[in-house]
Parts: sequence; C-alpha cells; structure tokens
Amino acid sequence: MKRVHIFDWHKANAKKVEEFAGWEMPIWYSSIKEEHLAVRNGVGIFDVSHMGEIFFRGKDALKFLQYVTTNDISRPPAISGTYTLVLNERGAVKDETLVFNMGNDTYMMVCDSDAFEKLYAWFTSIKGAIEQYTKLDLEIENKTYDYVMFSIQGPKARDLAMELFGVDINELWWFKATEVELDGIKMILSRSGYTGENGFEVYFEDANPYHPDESKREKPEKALYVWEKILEAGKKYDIKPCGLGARDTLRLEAGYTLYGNETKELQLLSTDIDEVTPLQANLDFALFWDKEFIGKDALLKQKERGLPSKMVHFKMVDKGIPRAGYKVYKDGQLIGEVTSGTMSPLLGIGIGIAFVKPEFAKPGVEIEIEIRGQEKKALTVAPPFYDPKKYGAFREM
Amino acid sequence: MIEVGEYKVKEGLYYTKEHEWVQVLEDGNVLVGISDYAQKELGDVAYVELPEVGKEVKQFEVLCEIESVKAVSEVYAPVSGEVVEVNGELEDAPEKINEEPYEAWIAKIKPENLEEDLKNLMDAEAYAKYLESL
Repeated sequence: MKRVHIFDWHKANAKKVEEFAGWEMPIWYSSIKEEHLAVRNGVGIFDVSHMGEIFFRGKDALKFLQYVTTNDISRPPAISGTYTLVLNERGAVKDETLVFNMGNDTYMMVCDSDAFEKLYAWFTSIKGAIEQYTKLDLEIENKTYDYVMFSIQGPKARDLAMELFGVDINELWWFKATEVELDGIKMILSRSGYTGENGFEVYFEDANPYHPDESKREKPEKALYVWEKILEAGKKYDIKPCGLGARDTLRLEAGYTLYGNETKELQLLSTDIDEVTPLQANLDFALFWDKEFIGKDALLKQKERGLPSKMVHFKMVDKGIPRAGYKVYKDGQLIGEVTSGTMSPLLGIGIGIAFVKPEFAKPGVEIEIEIRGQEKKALTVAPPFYDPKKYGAFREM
Repeated sequence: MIEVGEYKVKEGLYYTKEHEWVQVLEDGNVLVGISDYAQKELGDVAYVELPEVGKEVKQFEVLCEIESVKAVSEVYAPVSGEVVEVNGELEDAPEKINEEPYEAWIAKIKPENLEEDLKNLMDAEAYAKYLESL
C-alpha cells in the first residue's frame, strides 16, 4: 500500500486509517462531522500528499500540455495554476488537474491520487508517438512520492497564512501561487482548495520513508516540522487535522465533481461501464475551443448528437441519505443514477450529485431517489448546497 | 464496564461477532443495539433505518440499516423473533448511538427461542477477548 511522508503521525493520531485508491490514508482523526464543521467555521489542515505531481520541463512543455489538456494554460504567468482536464480520444475525462506554470519552461501538474500512474503512462506514450516524427525538448517526471502537499482550508486560513508566511491570500487570485519560506523551508503556496472555503495549499519536496523506490526511502526532514508548525499556529483558531472523510463531504457540499465518481473513463480492468465527458459534467468552463486538444473532435460530435446524460445536484426532501449507484426516478420513470451522496454535516440533510436525462438537469425539478427499494422525494438545486452568503469563500464577512 | 483499549464493553449483555449487543429484559423481551466498538468503527451515525414493528427476523439475518456519514452498514438480528418496538428517538437523534451506544437501543424483539439463540452469542468477557483478538 502507498503511504504519504508522515504516515506514522496519521497512524498515531487518526481514529480511522483506511485504504483509499491504493493509499493508506487518515479518514478521520476525531470525527468527520467535527472536522467538516471546523473547516466551515474556522480552519482545518489536510495532508493530501497522495495527490499526484507530474513535472513537464523543456521548450516544448507548454505546447505539449496545450495538446494533452483542455484549458488554455498559456496565459497565466509564473507562478499560477490553471484548472484543466485530461481527456481520452473519446472525449471522456481521464482526470481533473491543476497545471502550474512554474517559470523557466517548467510546469507542475497536480492530479488525482488514483490517476497519476495512468496519466504518467499516457503522457509518456504520447510523447513517444510524437517523437517518432519530431524530437521534443520535453522531460516528463512523476514526482508524486516526493512531493508533500498540505491543504489549509476555512475562513481562518487567511489569518494563518498571514502569520506563518506573511502572505495575504486574498491578494492572490484563485490558483495564483507564490514562493514562501517557513523557518528556512522553501515551498510553493497557492490559493486553492477543494472545500468551497477560502484557503491555500503548500507544496514542497521531501524524503518519503515509504517511497516505492527503496533507495529513496528516508526519513522526511521537513514535512512533520511544517505540519506541526501549522497545527501549533492554528491552535488559537481551534485548527483540526482533517481526513479524507471530511474532504469528501466538504467538496460535495460545495458541489465539486470528483474524478472516479462524477468524471470517469472506461479503463482496462475497471468495472465502470460509463464514460463521462466535460460537457455532461458541467465543466465547459475548462474547455478552450481555440486550440487543438485530445478529445476535442469527440466533444464537438457529442455536442451535435446531444448528451446522453447530464450532471445535476439535488437535496433530499424526505429523510434518507443518497449514495453512489442509487437510481433516480421522475414520476416513476427511471431517469438516471446517483454518483455521489452523503449526509450534509452542515445542513443535516441528504445531498447528492446525479447524472440524469438532460431535460431534468436543471434546478427545481422534483425527483425521487430509490433508497433500499423505497422512492424518496428529492429536489434538484444549483450548487453550492450551503448559503453562499454565510459559508464558503465568498461569504459576506 | 470492561475496557479494551479505547473500547468499552458493558457487562451483563450478550454480544455478536458483528458487534450487536442484546439485553435480556425481565419480561423476556430483548433490547438490541450496537457496541461501542461498532459505533467507533462507523463514525458519525447519520441515519438509522428502523425496522418495522411486527417484522419477523431470524438470528444473524439483517435487522435494519444504519448509516454513518460515510457509508451504509447492516445491523444483524442477534436473536430470532418479532420486532415489538423500535426506538423512535433515533429518528431525530441518530448521534445518540455515538454518544451512548449501550443506552441507544434500536429495537425490542420478542424472542422465539432465546435460550438456544444465546448459546450462539458471547458474554461481555468473551466479547472483550474477541475485541482483543481483532
């Protein structure tokens, strides 16, 4: 099983440590609910070092990335990130990623923990195919096991960044990054997150005692220090270490898609029978049509043909918690399937995301979710699920 | 209360390997709930789908479902019999199961064959040993 740099700390402090996508990860330390509410009301810190980091270096790196991802990453200056998708030839989502322009023809792609291996193989094979015709000035390197990534999220994250790094994250636009230092430890800090709240993420390289390459297995020098330093500084805001359980409930309350649930592609050895394109998952904002990219033709064809299903958010009206795989009905007729669902720790009701026939994919539609053989009433809504005036990054102070 | 690490085991109850507890009442009926170990494994209990009164259950078959924030789990009937009452308080306060697992009973069952069924269960000491082995 794969493990992050400071796995030992998590093992000693988390009440639940479990396998997630091949990684042995903290699921909760105290409780999902407590951690979730800490992020909505104060601040929480997540060790998300299981996220993938793939580096692209060389004069052709930008051109290559423009071709293998959907968004325009040529414009944001160093250092900033762009949310961009990797698609297969059929237009289905291979992963949702952030690509950071690091300057000096270097780009860092932050991708999902269950996708980085297949992405690395995919990019390497495309590079190989292109190089049969023309040599590329491009080096692709998978640094997933080497990079530490911590995510600090919540309305108090700004104060914490100010105090620890002297950076006002509200001065950075979303996904803008900057180099910072903490007691001599250099890292990249970006304004980003996956909770709906204001927040930032820090990235730096460190030794990993669980590195798959045995020759690289060494005690981390910085990760634990940084983790504990942030926890210490956050004490006055009641900071909580947060596990992957709260990460999932927070992203769902914010209405964000998750690769593997909402976005997916058919893969060898996978039991999925479904593929999802960005058009179906409301990710059009990440499609830059004025360039060529893998999957573009398939998307254009799908636009012409019409979508087989489309994503919609819904909340339960009846009691009950929707879960991935549950069937969705409208007036007794099957119209789709739930892809994510939970009990919203903030609202105390069941919430979820489903893919339904496109005509029902709009707010205000009364639908039914089949829960253990019973049809329970639900209503489609526009995300986020919480009141954006009271919660989230754009709350009124 | 017997303590096994962070887990509490209440004396005087019977337990299943799936971590349900049974309390035998004076009138011969039994109360059924889930153990401290079970609630800690589940995490925040968010919903209890109570069984219907009148439901006939067989020992170790599904009695009802209990949902944490993260997942759905099944609660198995520790004894065969008929559900004669359910704890309606859990409908609005499922978190009681986390707070007081040995108070928050889920269902009252009128057992069919209690003496025989109890032979398939563990007493508190045996259950504590079982937890140690996990």
